[in-house]
Parts: sequence; structure tokens; C-alpha cells
Amino acid sequence: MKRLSLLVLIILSAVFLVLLAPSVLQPELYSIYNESSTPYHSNPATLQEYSSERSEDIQALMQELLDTPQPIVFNIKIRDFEEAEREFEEYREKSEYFNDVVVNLDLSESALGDFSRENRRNMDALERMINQSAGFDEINRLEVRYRSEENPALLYTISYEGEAVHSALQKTATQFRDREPDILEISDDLGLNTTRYEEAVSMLGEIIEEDRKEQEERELNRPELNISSLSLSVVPDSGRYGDALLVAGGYTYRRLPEVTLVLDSRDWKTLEPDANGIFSTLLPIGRIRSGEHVIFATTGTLYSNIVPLTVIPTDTVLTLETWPGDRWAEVFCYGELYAGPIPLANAPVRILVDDFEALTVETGQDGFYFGSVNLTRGNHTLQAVFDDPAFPLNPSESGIQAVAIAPSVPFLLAVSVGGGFILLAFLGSVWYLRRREQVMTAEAATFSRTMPGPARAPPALRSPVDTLIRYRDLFDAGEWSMAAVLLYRSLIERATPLPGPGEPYTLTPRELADRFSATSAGRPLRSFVSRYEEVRYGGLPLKQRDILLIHWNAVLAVFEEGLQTVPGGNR
Amino acid sequence: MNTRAIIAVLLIVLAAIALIAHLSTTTIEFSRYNGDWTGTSGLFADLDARGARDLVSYDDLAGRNDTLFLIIAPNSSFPAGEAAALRRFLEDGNTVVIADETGVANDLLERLGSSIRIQPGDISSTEMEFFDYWSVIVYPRHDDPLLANVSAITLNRPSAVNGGESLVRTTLLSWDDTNANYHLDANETLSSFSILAREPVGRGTLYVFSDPSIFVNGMRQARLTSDNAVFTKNLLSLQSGILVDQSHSLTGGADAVLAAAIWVKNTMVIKISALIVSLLLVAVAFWRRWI
Repeated sequence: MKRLSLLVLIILSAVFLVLLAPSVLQPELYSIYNESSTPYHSNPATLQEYSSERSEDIQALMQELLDTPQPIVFNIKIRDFEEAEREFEEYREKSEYFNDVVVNLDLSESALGDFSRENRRNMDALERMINQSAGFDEINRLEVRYRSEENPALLYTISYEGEAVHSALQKTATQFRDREPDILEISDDLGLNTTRYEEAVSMLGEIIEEDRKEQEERELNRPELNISSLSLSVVPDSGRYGDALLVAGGYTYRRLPEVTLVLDSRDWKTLEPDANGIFSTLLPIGRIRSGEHVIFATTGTLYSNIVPLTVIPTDTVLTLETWPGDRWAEVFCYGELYAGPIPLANAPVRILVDDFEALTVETGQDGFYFGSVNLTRGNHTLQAVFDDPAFPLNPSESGIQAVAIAPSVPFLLAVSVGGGFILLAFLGSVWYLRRREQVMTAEAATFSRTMPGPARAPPALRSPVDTLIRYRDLFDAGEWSMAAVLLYRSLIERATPLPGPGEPYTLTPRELADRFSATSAGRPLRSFVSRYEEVRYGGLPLKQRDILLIHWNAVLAVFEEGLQTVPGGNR
Repeated sequence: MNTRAIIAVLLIVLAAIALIAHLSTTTIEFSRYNGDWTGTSGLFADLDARGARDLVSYDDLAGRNDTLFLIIAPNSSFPAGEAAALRRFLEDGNTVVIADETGVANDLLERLGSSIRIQPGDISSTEMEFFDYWSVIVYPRHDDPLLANVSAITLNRPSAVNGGESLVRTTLLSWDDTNANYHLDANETLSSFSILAREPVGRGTLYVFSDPSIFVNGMRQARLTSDNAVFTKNLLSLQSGILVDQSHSLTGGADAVLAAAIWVKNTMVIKISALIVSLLLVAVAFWRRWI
């Protein structure tokens, strides 16, 4: 029966060992995460609950974005620019939210990403359109005012200005209209209704047509100016960004105290003619829109001839570099903006993060700009854009920089982990030192009896019986090393005087044995030390009747009898 | 028996229970013997409760009526004879539901004269149950007894189906993650994918569903906002009789030892022989006073 039970247990053990064998190398038998996914499916238990039934929301949002230009354009048409601005702000917020959704869902490369980018361009165009239409409306109102004031010079200049603004408006509207096929294609793919968007495009055409008629009428009614003796000329009559045009004139009938130069219906500069009635100045082409401008000189009721001048747009080149910032998720952005060979100073550069404006920085005198943005975890695109129409410069965009922000270890967590390690090390050190101190104290307690001290009387020797009782206690407690030390110390206590100079407690056990090698204690002491080293330093356990005890007794016996010198040593 | 013998017997019994428990289960995907999240033990418990029967031979399909035949996660091709038998089964007015995401069943569908095909892939969507593009939520587009009271179904890494009448589709913001990089790339277009298609064959109806994963234990036990449980219940109530394919389906998968045990269990002569041998062994043990 006994053999059968044993056999069964052996067989069962073997079976279970065989079953467990495949798991030996990877002792983690099961973790929900190490089998969270297979080629067919993912384990729902390991997935973060999300329940994003958002497709309808996203589609509804896209529909709103597609519909919003219509009321904005309608408000532009009825000249309610405040309402248009308000609608535009809502449009901007929705666009930014939508862009966040696209980025968060990692859909930038999809039709949604295309939609987001086209929407951003539409948004920029609508913003310009509101400003340009408001400018055109202002010109219309000024025209009425100058007509009532019977100011032919300003009426004259304002017709030029109206042409310039209308031209810019038409350009913006054309850009908006040109995007229509792409928008419609994407929208069709996404199942969106494009009716209101098409209405907006159509309405935009009507606005441009109405403005064109108003502008044509203004030009038809442009007054003919009488040529006065106050003359003005601009040389050359056109230039580019960075050029300077010479504006000069004269009035020779009498000396005028001052002459005001009016550029595009706004006072630009006041000059004092010289003794000959001549005045001149340079018109540097800097922050001035491109296109046609007019300038004339006036003083009192005198008006000079009106001089048209043309500012020719220049292409720009914009660069962007990125660099990790000082803090996690911070990215430094820098680059240069040039108009041909000329660095562009004090120009606004917009930094787009994931196609949306995150920051506007201004270039320095050397065309260099610098800024930093804080990004969320994940992949992002950064691009710099220069498109300020206040400069006679064509817009430019930098290359797109891809930036990946890796998840960071939270600062507090890092500090906690680091602190934890330090604390553990500290506690470990304290434990070690205390343990060492206890050992030293125990050893010192044994030693102290033999330590010479001027103020301390020599302690009485522990009797062999006491030593054996203490040895037994240590042996029973498994403190073999301490038990061996106890025996060794009891021998040292009796080893004085040493054969030769020095104190026994300053010697190693082997040195001590060597010192007694020429005596009758040499052989048993060497045997004792040999076993002592095995127990004390080799960590071997003591046996019930260990030879250490036998050698200890032998050495003690020699010490009791008195040392005898052995001729030729006792090795 | 003395104390030692009692302990020994107890140990043997406990060990045998552990051994049987270990050997009577498997980790094979979709296996009805797999009680883990990848198995279909829960579904088959429901099928057993509904009185479903395993189809041993396709000849048994003949003469059936008002019967649903389930082929879940097929893993091997269907011979022409079996396809013909299945076609006759459908023409007799019965219903066949094929849940496959690998495209293995496409040959069968062709032989059945169906226009439906499984388009293997990793359909992903922003409409997701978990923070995982592959946990796609899909919506019914047409009425069907299978979809009664079902407003949405959560899938787990589904494929798509083409052809037939599409009953369930993903939303438009979905794509086939062709390179399985868990990311919508420029060459992956957003589209609405058909997941469940229906087609009449003779007097019967063929359903093809592109995600058998909804039947695994993990999906059945998951806390879902959609109506997977209702969908499964509708499926099991579709006809009065239910037959389940076990010869071409991963649901019948078993390890070698388990397969042998199942073979013994399903073969009456061997079952009786094993019982007799066991009794003889016990008798001998007593006779020889081993125990």
C-alpha cells in the first residue's frame, strides 16, 4: 500500500511537472494583458471603456462648418459686419474643436483631415473678406462724406483706393470659389449636404458684382482736378518691398510754410519747402499693401496733381525649424523670413499646430523669428505661415515639421520613485549598520575582557564552563559564526602573554596560530583556526559535536598546562 | 482503509479532477471547449439550452424545415457535395447564417450561388465601444427579424461583406486598416462598410456576417452599450430548430487529448468499454487490497 501510494504520488508529480514544464522559462502563468489580442480580436477586458458614438456628432459638426459661411456671407452682403464678426468667431471656435477631434482621433490623413484643411483656408478667406468688405464699405461712406464736403482731391484718391480694396476682395473671393470643387467632392464623400455652402459661394459672387458696379460708378464720377501750380512727382513710380521712392514737388509763386502729403486719402507726412519752394522726401516701401496707390500734396486750398504709384508684390521665403524645449511638451520654433535677399523685419509669422494657429511671433530686424508652443502628447504638425496683406509681399508657408511628443513620466511620480529608492537605500543602510553594530557589540563584549585600559581593571576571564553554556545557547539559536567567535575570543583571552611582541587581539587567527607555532599549542591552535575560518568566514554550520569544540578543548588544555616550546616548530 | 489510504485516495481524486479540468478545456480560438475570453463556451451553453444539435454529416440537412444552420468561424473549405446539400437546405426554406471574417467561406458562397462575398480586412471606425478603433459600433439599416430591438452592435476587429442586401453597416467614418498599423493612412479612405448582408436563396435566406468575434466569451461578458445580447438572442430564436456546423468550424476545435476524449464520449461502444475497464480496475484494486 505504502509503495503504491508512493508510486501514485511520483506519477502525479511527474505529470504535473510535464504540464508545467512549458511555463518554466516564463513563470508568469497568466496575465490578462499578455494575451490581450489575437489575430481575430482584442480582449474587451483589457480595453479602456470609451463608447464613442461620435460619428453622427462629427458629421453634424462638419455639416455646421459647411453651412456657416452662408450666414457670414449673407451678413457681409447686408453690410452687418458686427453680426458677421460674431458668426465668424463661432465658426472659428467650431473649426478649432473639429480640428482637435481630427487630431485626437488621428484622422489627419483622411478625408476629415482634408476637410479640416480646406475649412481652415475658407476660414482665413472669410476673415479677410469681412475686413476687406468693411474697408470697402468705409470707402463708400467716405465717398458720400467727401462729396458732401466737395473735396475733389479726396474723392479722386478714394476712387483709387476703392479699386485696390475691391481688387483684393475679388482675389479673396476667387480663392474661396476656387476651393468649391474640392470642398464639394470631400463633402459628397462624407455624405454632407452642400446646398448652403453653394449658396454662400453664389452669394459671394453677387457681392463682388455689386461692389464692382459701385466701384465702376465711383470711377465714372471721379472728379477732374484742376492742375494747380503746386506740383508733385514720384520717381520711380513703382517699387518693391525695401525700395524707396522719391516724392518731390514745388510751389514757386510764394514760399509755403508747410505742405502735407496725402497717401491713399490719409495724411502721411508734413514737409517744409525750402527757400525755392521745393520739398522732397523718400517713401520707403515697407508696411504698405501691394497694388495701386495715389499721393498728392496739399496746403490750405491748394492741391497738387495726383500721382499714382504702384507697389509690386514680392515673393517671400519662410523657413521653420523645431527644437525640443526646456520643458516636456514644449517645442521651440524658429526660422527666417526673406523677401528676395532682404530679411523681413517686424512681420507677423503665424505658427500653425495641426493646421490651426497656435502662436503669432514677429520677426526681428534680421528676419529671424523665435517662439515656443506647448503641445499635447502625440503626433503633431507645425507650420509657419506669413500672409499679412499689410505688406506688399506674397504669402509664404514653411515646410511642415512633424513633432512627436512622447508620454512623460509625471514629475511627482518620478520624484516619488526616486525618493522611494533613496528611502529604501537609507533604511537598508540603517539596518545594515545596526546589525553590524550588534555584531561589533557582541564581539566587543567578548573582547572587552582582554582589552587593556588605564582606568579599567582587567575583567575576569570567562570560565570554560560559562563559555560552553553561552556556546550552547548560540549553537541552539543557529548563530554558528558567533559561537565560533566566542570560542576564539576565549582562547585569545588566555593567549597572553604572546610569544613575541604585540597584542593578540590585533592579530588575525592565522597570525595568532603562527605566533604559537613554536609552542605545544601550535598544532591544536592551527587545527582550531582552520575549522574556525570555515565556520566564521566560509559560513559552514557547526555540528553537534563539532571538531571546533574538540580543538578548542585541546588548546585550552595546553594553555592550562602551560606552553612548552617545541624544537623546530610545530607546523 | 487506514488514514494513509484515505489521504492517498483523496489526493488521487483531487489530482484526477485537476487533470480532467485541465484536459477538458482548450485555448483554441472560438472553440466551444474554450472557457476563456477567446472561446465560445458561453454561446454553446445557450445553444445547448435551445436544443441545438451538432451537424455530424451534411446529408443530415436533407428534409429539414424551419431550421437554422450556423457556421461560425469556418476554417476549412466545403466540398462540392456539402455545398450542394446546403443549397438544397436553403431552397427548402431554411436559414443559413455564416459568420466569417477570413474569407474561407467565399468558395461556399460562390457554390451556393450567392453574390455575397467576405472581404477580409481590419475594419476600423471612430465609432468605437472602447478606446480601440477595431471595437467598431455598427448600426442596422434595414428591418429584419435578426435585428428586432437592436439599435447597435459592437464588433471586434471585423471584416466587411460585399453584395447582397446590406442590413448592418458601419458609419461613414470608418476605414479598412489595410496595413494593420492602427492608423488611418492617406491611402485608406473613409467609407461605410457592410457587416451583415442578407440574400434569398430559393425559399430560404442566407445571412453572412463578417465578425464571428461577437460570439466569443470575452465579447459576451463585456459591458457594452450596444445590443449584442439581443442580436444573439434573435439569432437563436430565428427558427425552431438549430443545427451547428462542427466539421468546418473553429468552434469544434480541440487539443489532441481533448479531441480523443470527445471521440470517446461521442462513440457509444468505446464509452461502454471504457466504463467496464474502469470498473474492472477498481475491482482488481480492491481484490488485491491495493486500497
